[in-house]
Amino acid sequence: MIVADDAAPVLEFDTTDIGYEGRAVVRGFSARVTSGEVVAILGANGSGKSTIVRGVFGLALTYAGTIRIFGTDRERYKDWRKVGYVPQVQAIGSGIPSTVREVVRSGRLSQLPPWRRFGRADDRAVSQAIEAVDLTHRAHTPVGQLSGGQQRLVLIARALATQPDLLVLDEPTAGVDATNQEGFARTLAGMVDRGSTIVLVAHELGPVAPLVSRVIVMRDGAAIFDGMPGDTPESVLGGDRHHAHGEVPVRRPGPGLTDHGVIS
Amino acid sequence: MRVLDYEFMRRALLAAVLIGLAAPSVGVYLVQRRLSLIGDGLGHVALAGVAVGVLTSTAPVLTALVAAVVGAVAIELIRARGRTSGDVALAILFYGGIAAGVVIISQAPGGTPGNLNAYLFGAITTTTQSDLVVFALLTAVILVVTHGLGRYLFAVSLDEEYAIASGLPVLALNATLAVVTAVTVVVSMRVVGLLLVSALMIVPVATAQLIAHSFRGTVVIATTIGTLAALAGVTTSFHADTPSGGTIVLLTIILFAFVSAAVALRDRRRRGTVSPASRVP
Repeated sequence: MIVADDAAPVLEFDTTDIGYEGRAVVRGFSARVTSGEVVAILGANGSGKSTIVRGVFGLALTYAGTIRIFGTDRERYKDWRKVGYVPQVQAIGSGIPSTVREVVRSGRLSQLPPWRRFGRADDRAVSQAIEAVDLTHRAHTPVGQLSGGQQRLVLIARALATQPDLLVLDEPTAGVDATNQEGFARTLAGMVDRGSTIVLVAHELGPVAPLVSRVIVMRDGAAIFDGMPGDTPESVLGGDRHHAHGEVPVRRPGPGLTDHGVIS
Repeated sequence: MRVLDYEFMRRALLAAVLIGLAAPSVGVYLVQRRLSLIGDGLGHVALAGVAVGVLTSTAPVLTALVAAVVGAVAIELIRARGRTSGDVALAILFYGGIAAGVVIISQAPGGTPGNLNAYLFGAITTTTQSDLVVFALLTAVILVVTHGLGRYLFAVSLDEEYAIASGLPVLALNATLAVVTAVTVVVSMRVVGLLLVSALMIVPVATAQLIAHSFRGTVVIATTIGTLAALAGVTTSFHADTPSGGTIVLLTIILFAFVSAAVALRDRRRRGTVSPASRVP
């Protein structure tokens, strides 16, 4: 397990049990994400990888252990503007029409006191977030008129609108076509260049693979590997490689690694 | 205009404007959260409050307001605790409220379920000056809350989980929306009646979302439709000698049908103008 003591801790899990309705899905999970890391949490469906990040936001319950965000216990953490979240939803365009700009602007609320109106700085941050996902030309389009992949990009822009220090993404490219995946990878690369910390839950890394600095592999609610992408032992891949929902993609240097980080 | 010659009609038209503005302002968030029928449930609870008012000789508007607000908070707490699904909680409100209303009114001196008719179906022309003052104050509260907290209510109704993850006080915002819904139900009670309250909150919004391109646009169009439909409904009911509540709601539904048909026709024409060569496979 990698523990980089010299870097500032951004996200810490200390023997945590996380789950729903009294049942722990993830058991005894420990990890420490430090500033500037790009961590990919991989695993098959039902392995508990999404539950871990949902636990960070209180969307799943912590039954044992502790989660700390920027050094503060999750229960006492208040500064949510520093944390961006892209949830695992396929579409948000149903219901009443909302423009891309309206949806992205809702991401600014975590740092806006109720008595303050949206100001120029907010407008600028929203425009930059939309530009980062290459949707400036669709800013005033109802989200429901965009493709599924573009809708995912809108959710990413909403998370970027807070200009977060930590970005947590839950299956951000699920159902996204190759073109939009490339655009997403460019957005993420820009964040990495600016020193942001990224935690990414994924089934398949795709074009993001070269950005990942660390991999955690989950199986049956427990971490079975935590290390550099290139160090992933074959034994870890074994059972999951041929999972019914597809191969567990782990970046691996040398022969056998495809451009998209999927073991060939 | 002859309709304005009568004091009771001037009061009725003012009440119609208030509810026409307030109901869609709340309804837009209910539609987005797929809680279109919560107004109906709260209307039934308000009926129990009306019955308590009649039984105790207290102003029924106030007792209905208390009952509806308590019911609104209860349903939000039930929903938030997750022990009972939203539709089951709504069903309990529906039937518990109307059953309590009928039983309680039967205990009032000379009370029969028929005493509730004016509240069930509306009796806008009986609106008094003091009713109008109360309605104006409550409408002001509704508009201040829905516009002042609009950006938060939008975020929660768009994506509740994201709102929780952003650290927004989601339970408090949902409870506030529920309370404002309850207030709207009570304000609408005399205009369209408790059984038709939901229609004025929902149908103008359903119509507006067919033609609007943004959430803000939907709010503006829905409140405009609500206000015009309420005014037209009251005026029509005066000339045609029909119940005001039913007339207002029928007008909103006719407009919805007309706009739906026009939008369908427009979409068909647009598809027809796209040449086969330019179609994306």
